[in-house]
Amino acid sequence: MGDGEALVADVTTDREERVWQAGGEEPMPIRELPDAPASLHIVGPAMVLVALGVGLGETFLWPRLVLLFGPNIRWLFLVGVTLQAIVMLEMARYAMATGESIFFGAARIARPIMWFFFVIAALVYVWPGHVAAGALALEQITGIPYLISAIVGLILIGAVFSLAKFVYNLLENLLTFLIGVLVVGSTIIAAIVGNLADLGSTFVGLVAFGYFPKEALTAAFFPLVVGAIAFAGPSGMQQMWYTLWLRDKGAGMGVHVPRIRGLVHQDETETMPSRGFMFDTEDPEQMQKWKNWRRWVMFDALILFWGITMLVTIIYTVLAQAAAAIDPSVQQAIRGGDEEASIAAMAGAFSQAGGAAVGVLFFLFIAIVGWKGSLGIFDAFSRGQADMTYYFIPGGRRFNISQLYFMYLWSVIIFGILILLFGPADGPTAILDILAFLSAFAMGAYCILLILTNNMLLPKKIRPNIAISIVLGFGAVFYLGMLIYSLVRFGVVI
Amino acid sequence: MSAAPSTLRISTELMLPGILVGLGTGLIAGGLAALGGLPFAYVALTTLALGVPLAVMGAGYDAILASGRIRLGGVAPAMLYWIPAFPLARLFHEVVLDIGFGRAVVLPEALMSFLTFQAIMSVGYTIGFLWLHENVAGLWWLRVRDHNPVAARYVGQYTSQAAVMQGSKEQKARPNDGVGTSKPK
Repeated sequence: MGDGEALVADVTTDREERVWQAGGEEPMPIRELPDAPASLHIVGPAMVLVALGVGLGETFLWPRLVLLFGPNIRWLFLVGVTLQAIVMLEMARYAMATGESIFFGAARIARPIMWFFFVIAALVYVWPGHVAAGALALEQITGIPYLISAIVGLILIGAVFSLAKFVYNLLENLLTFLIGVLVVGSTIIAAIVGNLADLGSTFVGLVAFGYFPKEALTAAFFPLVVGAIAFAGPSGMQQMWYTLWLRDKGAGMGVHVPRIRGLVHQDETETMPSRGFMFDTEDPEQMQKWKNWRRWVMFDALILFWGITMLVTIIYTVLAQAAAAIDPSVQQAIRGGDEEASIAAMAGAFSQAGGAAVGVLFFLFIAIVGWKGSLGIFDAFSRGQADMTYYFIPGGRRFNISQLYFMYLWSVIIFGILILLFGPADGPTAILDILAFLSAFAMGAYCILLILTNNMLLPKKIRPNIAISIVLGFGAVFYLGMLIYSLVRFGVVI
Repeated sequence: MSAAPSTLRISTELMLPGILVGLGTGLIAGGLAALGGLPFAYVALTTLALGVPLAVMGAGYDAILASGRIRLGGVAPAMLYWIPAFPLARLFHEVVLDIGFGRAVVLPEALMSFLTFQAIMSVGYTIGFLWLHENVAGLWWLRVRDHNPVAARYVGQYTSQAAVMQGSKEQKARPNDGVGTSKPK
């Protein structure tokens, strides 16, 4: 297997066993890689990532940029999402080869890197911005004050996960259903109000490489462009959490690590191993299985992730263009940047075109996007923090990982309710802006992390090729560069 | 001993998920029309004119699936199916709305451009359809598999995948036990 291989005494079995020494933490014992599944791809961790990733970036920020600068600005979206597809494949490489989260990988490189992400997550993902934005849309349809539905929405998130037997399965089913309704519904609206010309210009804009209008380089708009790129596809740490879902689903070596169980099924929880595992890369049979797993995840990254993220954004861009054509005040509202006013204006335009129902439908989808955003993020945040707490905070292993997960989940829900009741008076949009800045920062940082983990911690035969590392390096420069440029040149973050 | 279920029953059972997703799409549009305060006639027409053709075509998808010509959960075959089917359903919807509201039936001005646009939108419908279909159908086939051999075949396919992804995970999730999984030298 290479330089990192060693023989150590296994105290639990009283015999020597082969291990893979990766970085500074406990070595990984060699175990068997399971067979990759047949391709029933439509449901799986990639779908969870897509469902979580498709949010306000696709439904609001990018349509807004198109209305501001024309469809040609969308080449930046193509670059952003393609980069994210490669990041996804590399996240999967580490998680499937080791059964460890990328956070554990970060700790193997140097623990402070892992703590950096622990702190970023705690700063960024405890805010109830998504659920509040969704609740505002719901208020437009039903008249129910947003505070009430947002708080009920938060409690509902905690309740459904607590009652589930396996949290991941429930998350997958719920998100599949919500995103299914969302995609079917948005397609129907776009099919009713959109037209081929708008769609054509959207497609052409995707390949207008290098187009960058002067206005986009101003203090008023450049931070907006940076934020929109950060929100293209899964933003912030969502890609890192994807490694936890892969593990819980049992992808690759994740099969050797137990799953997170619901709060009412804690008595059945298995013991968590103290580190991940590695397979024998010198065994041709194991390497064939590895290739099959790579093929499995490649389909997810290219067809499900890349294709669907593109599709949803195209649909919402067509919707925004149609809305602006129907009612010019939409353009003004969107230009003004007030998200709530823009959503109301777009819904108004759709009501004019396709009857009030279409406007209501639009609001409902914004509400779904918001709620499922918080649902997925709170689950993922709790997973990530529980993972790091269990392995790296002294005393963390007095609890099992499921208990830690629920401690974080309910803490973040209670915090969310307190913020909604007593928090920033200027509403959820402001929270999302801060989130956008830290998101872009985390994304630049994880590109660097992936170069390190996948080139330093994995056996040579399963490391990425040089081209992939270069693309990841470009990603780091892309995210961090834009962020720093915005800060230095305009004195503004996102 | 109970009699073997009729072919009709078996076929209907197999087509039910596709029918439900199609009708569900119509219901989403119609239900929201009602919520939007539109007249009953509009609500009914929207529900039916979208729901019925999509349900019929959803049933068609399930029939092809049952024949074994396309792969369970496969994205590409479903897309090939919906690229012509979805535009037809939308065309039907437009025509029925015209008739229902007593307008002269005029096919959308630029028919080719309309159909092309709908065909592209069908990609979105395919993905949403598949996701909802997988959600509904998985549970339904589990229910009818005892007397429905095709449903039993589907369940078998799902189970073999689950065995790889989860079943074996349950057995293997005993870390540090070294049972048959390590290769000490």
